[in-house]
Amino acid sequence: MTPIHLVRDVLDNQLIDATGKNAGKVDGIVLELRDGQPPRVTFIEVGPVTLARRLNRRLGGCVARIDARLGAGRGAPIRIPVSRIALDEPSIRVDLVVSSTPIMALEKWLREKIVRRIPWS
Amino acid sequence: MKRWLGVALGIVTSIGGFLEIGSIATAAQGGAEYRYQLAWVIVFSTVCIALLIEMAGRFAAVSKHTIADAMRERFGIHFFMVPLTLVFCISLLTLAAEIGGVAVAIELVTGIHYTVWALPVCLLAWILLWYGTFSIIENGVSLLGLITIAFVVAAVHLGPDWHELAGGIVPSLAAKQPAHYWFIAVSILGASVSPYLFYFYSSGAIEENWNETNLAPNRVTAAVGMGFGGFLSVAVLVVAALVYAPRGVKVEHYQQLPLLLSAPWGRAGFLIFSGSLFITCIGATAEIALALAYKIAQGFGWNWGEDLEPRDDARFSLTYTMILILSMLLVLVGIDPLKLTNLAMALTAAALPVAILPFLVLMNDAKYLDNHTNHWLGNLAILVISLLAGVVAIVSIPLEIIGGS
Amino acid sequence: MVVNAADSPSELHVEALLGRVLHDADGRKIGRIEELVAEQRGTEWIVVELHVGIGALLERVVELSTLLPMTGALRQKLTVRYRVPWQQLDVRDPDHPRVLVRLGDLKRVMRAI
Repeated sequence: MTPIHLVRDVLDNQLIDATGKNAGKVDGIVLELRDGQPPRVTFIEVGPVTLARRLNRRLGGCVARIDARLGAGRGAPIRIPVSRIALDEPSIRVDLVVSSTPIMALEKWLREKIVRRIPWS
Repeated sequence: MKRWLGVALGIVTSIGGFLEIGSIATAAQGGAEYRYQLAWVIVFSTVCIALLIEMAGRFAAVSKHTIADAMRERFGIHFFMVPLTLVFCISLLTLAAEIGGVAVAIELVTGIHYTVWALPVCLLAWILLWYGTFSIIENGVSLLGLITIAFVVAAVHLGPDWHELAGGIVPSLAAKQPAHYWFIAVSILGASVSPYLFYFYSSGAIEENWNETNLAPNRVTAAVGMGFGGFLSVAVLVVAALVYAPRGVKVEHYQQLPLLLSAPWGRAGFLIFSGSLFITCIGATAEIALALAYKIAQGFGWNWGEDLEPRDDARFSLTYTMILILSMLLVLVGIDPLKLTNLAMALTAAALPVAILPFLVLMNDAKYLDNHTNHWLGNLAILVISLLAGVVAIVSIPLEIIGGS
Repeated sequence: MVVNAADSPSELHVEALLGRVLHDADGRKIGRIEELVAEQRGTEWIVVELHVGIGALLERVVELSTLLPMTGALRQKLTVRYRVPWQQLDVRDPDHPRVLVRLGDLKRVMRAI
């Protein structure tokens, strides 16, 4: 069984979605602690809230409040079940189309509110 | 055949894109005050940047990662924030110097103060990036930059003492004012060896879908293109030595720079100089803004690409927009463009160890590069040059400031 | 399939453990947690061990053998790495993770360069 180095090969690695688009970096990994059994990796986390929290907890809270304004599904860490990812080189594949998830909310917001208002964009 | 045409284009754009306000101003000051004595610094810098550019292209072609992407992946977000922040701040100053350079070029021709032109220049650069493609910026502007061959023509025309010039290629200590000598030396180095260049280059290699078949052409382009580019820098130094030094002129104001070409060629030379400054600085402006946006986007895993439409990579596009605006504000504040240039170049040199060492670690990682990792000689050369540059810069910058320039 | 959830008490973040100093049963410092290793069992990823120490950091970050030659005591010091099986770990307080055994009883791995 090939060991999976969670920090070297998963954390901070690039995610690519089912359409080949960049889906962010793995900003966090969630473990489920179980009595009498080794922990299980349950989710990876993506998004500025997780990232900010890694740098500084208070910053994480700040970013969460701003992030919540982007709409449904934001303002909290975004989690993807580990069953949806495949370790691939050079990136990690996610079998989702991210444009239909909250992951792309900031991108969408900027596109609608700013980019589309610039002529010939 | 097509591949070798690509090499030729790469060489030509490297030459045309080599000079910008940093290399022109620092070489001019070096030539004016120390004649050919600092030519060796240009040679060292050129070798260094040629090696780094080759590495950047090789890294992207083999690993299919950009440098920023791999830096976060390998070292983690906490470490990544350090070179990100440092290179970002210093490159922002450099970008302001380039925007200032374009604005100065327009002031030279129109007589209207450069701060008036800061916003139009920023807008022009933004239009190039927003509506243009990677090819237009990389190739189009750089091809126009071939106008800088005028410096070589001027150097030959003015007839340098070739023997004395050859002597300048050998490293030497300062004939006078050692602190100032070393400050100019690190500024010259910082002008050529700019970290934004290798972020830009590795991103470009990914934009153009490089693979292992690009490795040999990449080596040729880096060596020949950068080599000839360095040659242009030496030409500026030579012209400065022949134009300023005999007149006892120290280059302290940007209005003195056109003398480089107006002294030998009058009004025509003045216009060629202004045109050269305009083209080279607008190219550098676009490159730096892109390079910083690439670094941020790749560090955070966003969709990015100059060849994408802004609606497909809104975060990336708006990042370079904000970067241009921030730099423009620095210009509007009215910091003298020449002083800003000197400071930005020297700070770039001071930050080189922080910017380059992680890159060097990646270049020796077989997980990314298979059997294309660095040769120990390349490692040693880069290590020595970047550490020396960092140390000398950290010592000489305060001395220069205290010395009151 | 993409969910938001606040952390529950039975959850732990890998990045929260990363870099934390690990102490043994006597309170002696072992080193910093630099890697968590999992195995795929069926569709699940099960965490099996932690790697602790400077050697573990270097294992993750840089291939020293190709970068610089190293000799003697320096090499010894930089290759210290402990593998801590999950069963020997107490992470009820993630800010102060502990090992349930003494330092001397941990499996010590000297990395071959």
